Amino acid sequence: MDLLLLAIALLVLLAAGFGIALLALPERRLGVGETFAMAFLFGCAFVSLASFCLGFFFAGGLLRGASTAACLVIAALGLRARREGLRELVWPRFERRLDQWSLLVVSAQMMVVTLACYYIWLGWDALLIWEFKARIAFLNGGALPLDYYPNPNGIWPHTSYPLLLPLTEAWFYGWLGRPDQALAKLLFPLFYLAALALLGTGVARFGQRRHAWPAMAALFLVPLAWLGEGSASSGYADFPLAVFQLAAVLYLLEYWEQDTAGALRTMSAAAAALIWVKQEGVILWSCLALLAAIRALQRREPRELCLALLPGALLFGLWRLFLDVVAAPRWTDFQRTPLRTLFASANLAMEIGRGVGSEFLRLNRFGVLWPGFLGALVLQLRGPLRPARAILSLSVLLPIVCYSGVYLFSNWGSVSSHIASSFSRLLLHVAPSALLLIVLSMPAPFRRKETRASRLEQKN
Amino acid sequence: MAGRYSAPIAIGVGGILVMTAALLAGNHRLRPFARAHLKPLKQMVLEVFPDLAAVTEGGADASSDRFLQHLRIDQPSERLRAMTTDLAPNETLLFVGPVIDPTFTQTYRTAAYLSWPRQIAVLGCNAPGAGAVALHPPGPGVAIRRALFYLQQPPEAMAPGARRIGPAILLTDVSERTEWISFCSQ
Repeated sequence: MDLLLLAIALLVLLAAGFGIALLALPERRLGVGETFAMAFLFGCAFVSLASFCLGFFFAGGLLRGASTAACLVIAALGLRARREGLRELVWPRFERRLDQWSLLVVSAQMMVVTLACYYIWLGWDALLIWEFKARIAFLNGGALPLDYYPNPNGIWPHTSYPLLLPLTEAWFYGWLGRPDQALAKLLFPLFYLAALALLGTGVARFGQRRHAWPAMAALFLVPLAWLGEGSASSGYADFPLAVFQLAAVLYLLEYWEQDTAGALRTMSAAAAALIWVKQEGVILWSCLALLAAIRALQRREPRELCLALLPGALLFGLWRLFLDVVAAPRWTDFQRTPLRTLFASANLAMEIGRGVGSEFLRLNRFGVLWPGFLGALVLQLRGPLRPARAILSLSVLLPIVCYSGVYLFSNWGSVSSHIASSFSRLLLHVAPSALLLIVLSMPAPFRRKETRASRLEQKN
Repeated sequence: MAGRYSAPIAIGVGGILVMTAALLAGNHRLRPFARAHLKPLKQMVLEVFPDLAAVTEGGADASSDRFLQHLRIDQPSERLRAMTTDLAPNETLLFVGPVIDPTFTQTYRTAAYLSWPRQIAVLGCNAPGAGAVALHPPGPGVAIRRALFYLQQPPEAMAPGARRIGPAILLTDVSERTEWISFCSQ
């Protein structure tokens, strides 16, 4: 019965996300994997936002009913706007033996990730920050009560953190009829699956289609993607944030390469959701907005740019306003006097550099991802400049620079401890995009053979 | 042919090996097999990925039970939750424990998680005579009605009424308005 109720909750969520995906995605044939991934991501964003907004007026069954109705309406709107999108879905093909082997490996890794998500406990932050909010929302009828935010004696951690993940978990709790720390984690294999689908889509669109399945298999070789604090199996918001970031990056690249309004629209929606997942999402959104702005200004499209930035800016502004109104205390890991702190902390730069550098080389967290990323960057520099690949590199590098820089304002006694406890989770936010760049920069022998083979295919 | 596929095959085989190790280490049904036949491999995997050791049988309170396992009582989440459910909205529980104990923060944070909608108060005790740390004082207008002593003996005046819940915790009702800092004085 539990699984049936969870399946209904998931189907309603996917219906809403599918409707938004049909409305937002570029006007071209859509891949099944891409559509599923975007439907799931948009579905989580929509359900959590609907629960938050409708929660001011309804509670319990009424709130669930109103949110479900909103999901079905958005699904109907999407289908009405783009009915042919369904008929023209591109299904994956497994003609090559390599694809079949990769499918096997991908299926096996999905099984392992699902088992890990179910069997491994929620991590510390996952329980006390994210699942706690979900539990409170469930006990309060689906939305967080306003007297939760002020947190008078400070015993509840981070009451001002964004709500995509907790309210999505609360959505499942609502359908299930009870909170459950183990079943809540079954949401996370879907984020992992979405990451795989987006990686495959990205490689097929911007690189060689035959590399798509091996790229998906390679995500498993980044241990922190599925194991450890921040991973899909830990229940933290970091991996979902990484998946939203990858989605936004894919459509940013498409905008750079093909200049389609649909790509900018989808990038805008996915990037705005970053702000609703975790507070670091603001940094990721700012980096993506900057890269989109360069292209939009090159093309003299200031109006389109403003429209693209509007959802994120609006979400950020309204959320901050709401937190001020409910008197939610802000996080205190960083000091509030930027300039003075910057001058006082300048001598910390070396320590930060050392700490950050050692995180890149932690093989049990990232495998050889970052050395591989460095190699991919070198390969980019060797060949002719490709704008989309340069943008992909920058969408990984800019957040890393920003994330490293904020430690100058660290409030912790030891900045090294602060870095050791958090930086690998921050790096995870851009790890799938880094993996995408590595696969797109595959060494010449692979690419040459592919080119020859594709030429032959074209002749035939 | 072999050269063409060697890299993906290496990735695939490596991935399958890691997955098999993870399965053996993570699934409780397969654990006896792993213990008997693949103990060195499992040890190696757990050394590299210690998170794999944190496996659960599932359940609604699986994770909070894990953070309270050092209390060595059955269903710790359920029992801690029950300590606050009958309190009135303007009453709370005071959590008292040794501030230097490494499990203190983990335990009171988990207790706070379980006590919703009550906001528990927390008092950290130093060595005898060294005073106390007011970590999370009771909210304005909130009275302490119960005190939970974790790895800590209650003051002499409260000792007779204290009930032992487990090897590490004692619970006592507080009938009079007491200065909350005094719960450490001994």
